[in-house]
Amino acid sequence: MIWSQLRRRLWRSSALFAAILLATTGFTVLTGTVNTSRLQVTGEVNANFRGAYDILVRPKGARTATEGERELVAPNQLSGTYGGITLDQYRAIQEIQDVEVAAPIATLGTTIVVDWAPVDITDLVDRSKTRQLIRLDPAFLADRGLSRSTRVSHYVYITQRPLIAMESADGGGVRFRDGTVLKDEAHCGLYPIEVAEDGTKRRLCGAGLPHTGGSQITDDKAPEFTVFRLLPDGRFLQAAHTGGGGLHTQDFPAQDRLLVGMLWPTTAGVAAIDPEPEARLLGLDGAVVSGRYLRPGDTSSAKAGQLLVPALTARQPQIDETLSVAASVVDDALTSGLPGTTADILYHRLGSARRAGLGTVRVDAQPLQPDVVNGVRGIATAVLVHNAPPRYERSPDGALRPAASAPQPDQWTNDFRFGRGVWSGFIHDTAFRAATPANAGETRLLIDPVGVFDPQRLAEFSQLSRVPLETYQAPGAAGADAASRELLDDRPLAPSSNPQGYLAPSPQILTTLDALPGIIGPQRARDAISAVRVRVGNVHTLDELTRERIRRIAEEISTTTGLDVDITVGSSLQPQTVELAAGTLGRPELRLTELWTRKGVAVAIMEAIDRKSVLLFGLILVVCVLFLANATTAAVRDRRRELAVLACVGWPRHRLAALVSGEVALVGLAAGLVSAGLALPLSRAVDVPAGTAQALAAVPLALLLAVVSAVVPAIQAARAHPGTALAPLVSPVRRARRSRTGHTVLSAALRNTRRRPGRTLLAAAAVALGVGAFTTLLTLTWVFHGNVTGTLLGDAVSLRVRAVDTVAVAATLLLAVLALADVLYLNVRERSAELATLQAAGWSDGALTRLIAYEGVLIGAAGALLGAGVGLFFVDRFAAAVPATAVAVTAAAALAGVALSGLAAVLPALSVRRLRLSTLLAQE
Amino acid sequence: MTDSTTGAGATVRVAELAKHYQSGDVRIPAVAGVSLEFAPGTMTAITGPSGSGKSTLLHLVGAIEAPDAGTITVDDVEITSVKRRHLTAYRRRVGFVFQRYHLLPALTALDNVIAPVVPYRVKFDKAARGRELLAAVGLAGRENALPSQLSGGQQQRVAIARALVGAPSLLLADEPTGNLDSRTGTEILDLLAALRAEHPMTVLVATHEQHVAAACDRLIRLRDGEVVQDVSLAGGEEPEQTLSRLGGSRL
Repeated sequence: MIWSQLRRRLWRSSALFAAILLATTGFTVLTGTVNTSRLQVTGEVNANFRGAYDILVRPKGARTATEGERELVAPNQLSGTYGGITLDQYRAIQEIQDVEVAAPIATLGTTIVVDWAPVDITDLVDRSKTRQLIRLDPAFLADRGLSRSTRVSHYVYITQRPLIAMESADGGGVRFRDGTVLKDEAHCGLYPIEVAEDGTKRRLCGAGLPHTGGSQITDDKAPEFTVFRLLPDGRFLQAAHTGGGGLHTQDFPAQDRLLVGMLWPTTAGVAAIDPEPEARLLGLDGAVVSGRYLRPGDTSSAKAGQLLVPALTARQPQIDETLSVAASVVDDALTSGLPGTTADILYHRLGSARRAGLGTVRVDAQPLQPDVVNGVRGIATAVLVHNAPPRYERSPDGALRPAASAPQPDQWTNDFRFGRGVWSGFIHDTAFRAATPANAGETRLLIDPVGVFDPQRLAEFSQLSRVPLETYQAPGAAGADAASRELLDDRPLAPSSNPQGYLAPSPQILTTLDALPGIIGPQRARDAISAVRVRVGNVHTLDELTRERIRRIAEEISTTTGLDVDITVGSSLQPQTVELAAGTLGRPELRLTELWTRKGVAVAIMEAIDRKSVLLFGLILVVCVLFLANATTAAVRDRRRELAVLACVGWPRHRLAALVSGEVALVGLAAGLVSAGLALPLSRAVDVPAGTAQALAAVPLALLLAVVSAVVPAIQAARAHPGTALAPLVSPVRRARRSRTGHTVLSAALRNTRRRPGRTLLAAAAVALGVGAFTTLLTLTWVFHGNVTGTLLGDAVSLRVRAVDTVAVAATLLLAVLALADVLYLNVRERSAELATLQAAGWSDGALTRLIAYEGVLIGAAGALLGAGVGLFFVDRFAAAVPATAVAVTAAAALAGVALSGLAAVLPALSVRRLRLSTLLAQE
Repeated sequence: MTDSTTGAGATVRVAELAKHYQSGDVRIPAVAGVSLEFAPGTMTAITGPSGSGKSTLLHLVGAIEAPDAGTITVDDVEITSVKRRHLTAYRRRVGFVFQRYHLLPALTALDNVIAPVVPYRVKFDKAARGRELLAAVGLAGRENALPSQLSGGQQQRVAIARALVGAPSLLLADEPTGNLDSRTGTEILDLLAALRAEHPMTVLVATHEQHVAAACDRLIRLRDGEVVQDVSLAGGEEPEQTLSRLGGSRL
């Protein structure tokens, strides 16, 4: 019987089937997306503290074990992270709404800085002597003087005899300026000829070993040898220096003081930044003390075989090292025979020479700083070394002990052109970090300073220093006990030029991200960013809402980029005791106190259910139930007479109810089965995770929808009274309503909407739900750009519009439109006799169409206004401040709802034209 | 139809009109080759047994149904060849009274009366005209009554008022008293006559009641869709006499 009913009402059954199919399939597929990644925040911000940035983004897995365990971050931890964030990820972070500044930094590594420190030995010169040889023994001091590294001696030969500089050298021999041509004797460098008292000319040959060629920087074993002439007027003239393979000779001016340039190799950290965000985040442009700030267009350029790298350099060196020089004078007998003695012979003689100490010259100079004003470009960086963060062991008393190992500079100073001579002696100190060569010196890089910045002048520097993983502040560690403090002379331990040293210096040389492809190659430049520091916009106080907003942005960064994020707001400093093992260059074991950063909040990415999406998906089902309930009620009304006849012949009530609900349930079951079959391939097509179990859930879901919507109609069916069989089909109208709106089609339509108040209400409710969800979605998308943080039941909550939400709202709207269309269609069908009467009385097709269309638009408008109002109310309650545009958007949503209602009315209104007058009037 | 003819009612010409219905495989002729002419201002009774084609003829003339063959010309307009959307204009000039009244149950008597003109701009005040017509059919004071609150006769009066609201030049009444007791039926007929006197129009009444036919100028009898009798009742003989001569009280 049920089956025959369904077949008889094939079109109605199909409509129900389609509605249930749409709702269950939509719900089943969409619920596959409710699991989202949520950034869970634990811990409370105990201080109203905010640094220069709120969120720190690092490459996936950049958190160290110690950090993860204790929520503590070692100072200057960024220096150990090299790349891992792509430019695309950086741009994605910039695009995220509410991100005020996203400033990337690419740590490139440690490079070699080669410098000659001027050592003034004027006062050590005995002006009575015609010739003298002064030996200078440099000692470099680091770790506040506790570590000592010596370098090969530097001999300074001072003669009062005239010197003739070399002019050129070729295969035939060496030509001097006076025309003398000498055979290119072995073991003589590019030194001048000295004219002796008797007029003989003898070559000076330096003191290097045969294989060194006399070059200063190829071997740290070859003593350096510099020649000066003490002029009759008492001034000093350095012997003209021939370079570039003897092609040209450089003359030096005579000077009052005797300054010897001593080789001083140190290191500097190199990093690349994006100038504009860096300036906005930290005010780096305001910290420039000479020259200019970096520009986004500053890029590396090839020039004369070298790559010029535009750079901003720190005013102060970021390492703590001093130079101390011990001077002595070599035995006069040896010195007088020096002219004409070849280098190898002199080397051996000097090794056993008697010397008289002259004292120690303390050099106040610091490692060379590039000088923009004087155009000093003295920093050649051909080598980049990466170092890893230290690994810590725990002492029983809670102190951390960085793992120490024997230095292995051979493994990472393998630059083939410079050798180890250019490296500071401190690379032989105990190692606390692993170091790896980051480039093979393919390109010779020359730092081209555009400006100098002073880290002390950075805006809000004091606050910045409290943010973990700071960029520009030199790390320091004070002595933790009396012994250590005394050893350090009450100063903090500072980094040395050893890339494997415990403390790593902050970057001293800053270049632009645009210059990276030239420096490290386009391939590696693509993901060279080590960290992105993010400041959230519109943060004035750190109240709960703001913190939720920061959390939401951190979450979005995490979900869109997959990178590690940390919320730095509310961080505090915590002293951490570190036991530093003794070094091999003299530094005893130290017990230090470092200020580590305790993160104010810990974050973790959790799987969470997007409740807002669940709510939206649920709306689909609610609207579907409204649709079904209405359709089923109409079917019962349609069949009142039939049901009454069944009641007449003795059917019990429950059988009547079962008849009605059974029909709907059968349609529901069929739709559920088809839906289950569709869910899996559809999920795959739209890339939504859905299992078989979830797909199969469509069957009971569809049944449930059908049964729930059949409850009221089934009760109505059970109440079928036998007397109904005799009553006219047209239901009596109980109460006359006077039309106050005049006698127009519109007023007729308005009256019609009140004839079946239940049906009108159901349709309006469906439209209201659809438009309400639509209004909320539209406001969130347009006014709040897809993200809003607000309060819901007292909790700070962030809402983020996802694509699936749009789909859900679209499905709800579609179902609402279908529900409204169905109501109108039912109205047309039930009132076809009336409509025919009107037509016979002279109503045109247009008038009848308008009547139905108005009816649809009126119902739709009521629903749309209600829905839009509720939507706006919700947004207003949720977000603290609702801008005026939200009202405009709400109005637009309401209008769209009305327009959709008009659309829903099209088919039912047009169906009026298919009315066949004769058939209807055949009731005559 | 021009204004000059409106005053006297419409001229209706029916030529070779044919219409059949399909009932399963059986083809039932309802109107079979009927040719008639109705002069303006006349009132004609169409009689005949059930199924003789009375209602069908009225439906065809009222453009509620389309004929299979033949033409219907009203005031020189051949409505059988007019396009569907232009038929609305024609229907506005035709008043139709149905046997089952077909009032709109949700509308009050007044609203029912003016329902035909609701979609249109008219020169008169719709409500005033409605009240006037209700008063004319004797229902003054029942303007706000719903059809369910009115008796059959009252409902038919409302239906007649509704048919007249557009000041038709042609009134088609399909068994207007068929569902009424004879006294009420007579009242309705008297009403029609009175209204006709006030507002001249051509009237076609389908009926099988003698006293209805007696009120007419002309009588046409149909059987199986064909005209079997066409007599004028306007001669010297009293209509009642003519009618009894022709076949008794039930036509």
